[in-house]
Amino acid sequence: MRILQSEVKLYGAEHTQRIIDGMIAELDLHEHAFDIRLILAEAITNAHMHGNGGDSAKPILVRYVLDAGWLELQVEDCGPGITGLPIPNEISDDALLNDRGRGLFLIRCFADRVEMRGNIMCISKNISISHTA
Amino acid sequence: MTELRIAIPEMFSVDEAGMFRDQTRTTIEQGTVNLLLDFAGCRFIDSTGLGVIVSTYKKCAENGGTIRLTALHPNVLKVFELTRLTNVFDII
Repeated sequence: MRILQSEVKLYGAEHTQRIIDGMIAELDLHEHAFDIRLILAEAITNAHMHGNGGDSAKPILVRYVLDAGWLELQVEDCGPGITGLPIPNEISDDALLNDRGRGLFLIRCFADRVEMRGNIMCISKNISISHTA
Repeated sequence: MTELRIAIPEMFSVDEAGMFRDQTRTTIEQGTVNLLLDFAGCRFIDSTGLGVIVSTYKKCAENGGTIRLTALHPNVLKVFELTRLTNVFDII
């Protein structure tokens, strides 16, 4: 079983799509490209806006490991960290027309597991299941 | 009712969403308040893009107009469905 792992560093959210493109190509995960792109875009935006306070001088580290049909992602920011990250189970009627607040919910929808360990968001996605979309 | 068709970018994420917000805000302020957002060329949207669509909708509604969405790719439609925005927008 071949294990692929790597780490990239980015500043701000400016080059997010290029980095995600490179990762999807490296891991040959084109079949799951939409899901992975959405998960990572949301996690990196969250790290930049909340963990790094929107400061593009602060780095964000993205680590990824593909092993035995599971993609494990870690997105680390420079913030103090948080425990018990509140991720909504649904978008309530009250929040329906908010301009923000859907990112973590979408990560939960498209990933199999997500949790915050200090200042690192850890995300797991089963990519052994075929995706036809 | 005059309706302006606006094409949504292929990757409707942070950078593109910001430009789109600025352009549509100008359009609405100039009096065009009914918009048809054409997603035919859009293959990706994230929460930033959704937020801009929602703020555009609210701006149109404040001025007596509305927005409709058309030609959503299945993956993009799924994001609207999960966030329950299909209950808000007229999708044709």
